[in-house]
Amino acid sequence: MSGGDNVILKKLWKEIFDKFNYPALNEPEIVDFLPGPNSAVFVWEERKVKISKEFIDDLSKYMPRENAIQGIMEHEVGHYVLFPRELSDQIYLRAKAFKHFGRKSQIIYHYYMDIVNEATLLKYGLAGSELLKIRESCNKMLISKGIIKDDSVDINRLMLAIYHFLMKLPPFQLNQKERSYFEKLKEIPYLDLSITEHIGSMYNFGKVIEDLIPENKFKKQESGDKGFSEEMPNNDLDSDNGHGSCSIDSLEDISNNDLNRALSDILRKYGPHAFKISKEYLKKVRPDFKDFFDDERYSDKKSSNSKNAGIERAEFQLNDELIPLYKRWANCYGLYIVKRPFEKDSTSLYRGGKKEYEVGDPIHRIDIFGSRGYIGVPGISKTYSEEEGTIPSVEWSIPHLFVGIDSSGSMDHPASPRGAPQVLAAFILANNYYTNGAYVGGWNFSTDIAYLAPSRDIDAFYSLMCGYWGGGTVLNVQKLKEFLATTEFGEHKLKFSDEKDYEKMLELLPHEKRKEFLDKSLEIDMSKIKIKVKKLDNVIITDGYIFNPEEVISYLQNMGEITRNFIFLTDKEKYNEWSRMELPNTWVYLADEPENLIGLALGRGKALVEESKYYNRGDGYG
Amino acid sequence: MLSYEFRPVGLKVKTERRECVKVENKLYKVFEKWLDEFSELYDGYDEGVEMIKNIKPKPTIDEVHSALIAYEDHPNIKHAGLLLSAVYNLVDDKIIVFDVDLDVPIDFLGYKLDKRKVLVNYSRVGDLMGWEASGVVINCGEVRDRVGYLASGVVINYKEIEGLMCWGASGVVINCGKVSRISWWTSGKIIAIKNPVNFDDELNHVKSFLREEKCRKIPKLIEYFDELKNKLDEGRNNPELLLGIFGDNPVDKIRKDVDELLRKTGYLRRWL
Repeated sequence: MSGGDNVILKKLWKEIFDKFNYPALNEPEIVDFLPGPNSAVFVWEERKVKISKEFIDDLSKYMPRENAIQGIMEHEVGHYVLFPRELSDQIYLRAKAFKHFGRKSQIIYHYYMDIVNEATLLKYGLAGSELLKIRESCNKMLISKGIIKDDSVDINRLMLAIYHFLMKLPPFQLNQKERSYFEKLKEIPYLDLSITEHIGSMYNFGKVIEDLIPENKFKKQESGDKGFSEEMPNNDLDSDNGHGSCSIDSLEDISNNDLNRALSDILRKYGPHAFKISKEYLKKVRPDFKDFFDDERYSDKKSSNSKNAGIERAEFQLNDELIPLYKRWANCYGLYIVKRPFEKDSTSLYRGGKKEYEVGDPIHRIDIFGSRGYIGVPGISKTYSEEEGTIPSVEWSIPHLFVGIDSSGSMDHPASPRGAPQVLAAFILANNYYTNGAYVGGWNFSTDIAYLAPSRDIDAFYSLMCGYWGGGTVLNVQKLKEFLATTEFGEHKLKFSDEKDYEKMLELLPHEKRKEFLDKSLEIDMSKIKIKVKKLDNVIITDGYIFNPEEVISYLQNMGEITRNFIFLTDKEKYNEWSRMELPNTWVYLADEPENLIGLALGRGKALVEESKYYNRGDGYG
Repeated sequence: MLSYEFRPVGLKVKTERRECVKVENKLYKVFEKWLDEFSELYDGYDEGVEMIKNIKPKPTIDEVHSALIAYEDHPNIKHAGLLLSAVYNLVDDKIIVFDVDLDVPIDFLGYKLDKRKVLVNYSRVGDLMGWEASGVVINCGEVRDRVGYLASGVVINYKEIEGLMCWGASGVVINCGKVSRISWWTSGKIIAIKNPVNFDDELNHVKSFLREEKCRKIPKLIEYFDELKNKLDEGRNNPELLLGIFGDNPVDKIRKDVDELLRKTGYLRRWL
């Protein structure tokens, strides 16, 4: 019979493949046995539908064999094409179901997935009476095998009743007991929902059918490692051969690579909290799962082995354990950076000393006058040797990144459930500058400053960006300038300013100068650090609530005359205020929501493209 | 002339749409809009009331809680208690059991709770539960801080409050569980069947305060609240069972019962 089934399957697959618009699936297969309820399953790792022969045999007692195979195929392909479709959504929904329903979550999730998939198939005309017939046959099959009684409530019949209701078909006959369930289930929306809405619907659905799932569906506690744990979602449902009427697939065979990609999608689409619960769930169901971004150096907050550990100041918290999260998050976004012409050291060859000629040395390097007429004689002729040196030259290249990040109390904490948009933006910028060969560095400020000179040590930069001061915002520009003047690019040592520095500096100033300084009319002399600053792209991410804005603006003005400034403001009012200021070479962007800030990082790319056109006309600066 | 049409493989399915019943949960849209637009600068409660009023038919408590779970990962979910409170006051249900497992504890649960309603919390919630509530607010879960501030109804704690309870309350305050502190700045009746962990001496100067040692001498009072807790646990999954206990006016019911018990022991007369 299996040979006949294969012929039917081959014929049907051609039609279904066309109907579903050629999905990227391999040819389906009929197998002797499937783990779990031994029915049919879409195997993610193999991109293939597998159907148990026994399941077809059982169904064919109540419906034509060809129709049974067709219904099964439509159902399973629907899981790949329609719902849940994405692996990321599948993991996220499973994690949510597990959180609320524990060990019953597996069954609730699968029934919910089936109901949404089948209702969508019916709505779009991709499946028809065959699918309805399968549900009916499943119910009859379970009764005939004695798994459920004639008068007990079966989820298959409830699902059928819902399809009849949704598709405006004649009402499906239910008994009194079933009706009470149906009345609740029909109020739940299943179609055309976002994943967020699906979570709500799945919760409602689960609450209704929870008591219909018998406890004996689960294996009893076994001794040994493979025993069922109360806390674990049950991957090993009893294979009662009753074809529990819903296809149970698992995440067991999915590759680490696919799971990691799915986790990144969850982080990008649903945020850090969704990522956290999904990852926790994955670690429970797949103990062998390895997060590509996990780093032992950051695994424990207290025993952080990062370069900056040990120099942490009491008020400045390093949150190195968050680095893998933000690294993964930032990896989801790219950014285009336009090169800028600036003076940098380029390598060049020059004539060095002389040496004796050896066979094989290039003839053009022979010192004709120094060889006394013996050209090309080893040991007698002389040749010039070439040495490599650096000369300053103007080149189009990616500038180094210098990010000032505001971590005062008004900014989101990096560990907040929504994530801190300013930290994410800094990571995105750093990733892209770093990949292009530039140095990355910056400063983290509130009333004090933690400063890191631009270098090729991106981990030190990440650590600095995840740090948090809290408190108010007074930018000590003089100290920042001092840092810039005294540090060498390439050294990755975290330095701190102190509020005392500021007071001390004021004390040292003559009375007139002090007054001038406090009146914010002091011009900042940038000439000494001009060469260094010219190599930087200066970025500030803040909410704009700075106690000494005049001083900051003066600093930006001075910086803008030498390099380009990008200011990201997370407060709308402050954005309106700052964007009216006409600062040279400065772009001010509103970034009041995480999405905006991410968009801005990308939008910045677009703006830079415009700039590059301007430069290429030949009338740009540089 | 030949023309070719290349369909995007596997992405867009050619379909014939079937007409079907549209079931939608309008509350989801309202929840999303409210959370997206939430700002600490405006009154989220009034805004919520305006939004919920327009939903026909009125949402059910289950729908509200499922919407809360759906938007659990929203950045502003912490403030959702204000919207929930608006819904609680607008729906027909009199007994509301909040038994939702959330990772981010929500603030302002039971804000301005109507005097005909009873809110029973079995979950972990944030700050300011039962602020300005004139109904009955019962905690059988874990609350962070500032419970029953300015409440004029009844506030009962059965399990745990990490911070302060009932600052400025003018109703009846009963503690049968663990609470860090009970505010002495209150004009209501305070019955500490269990004393707060950090006992404020000022409490002894509150005229209508009954401390643990004295409560022990009124076994019927303790029995009354034990029995109430048992009934609450029975009705945890079926709030309709609790309807009979509280009657039409739950605040009056508890007040009268407590007054009756205290009258017999003479405390009420002394307080008055």
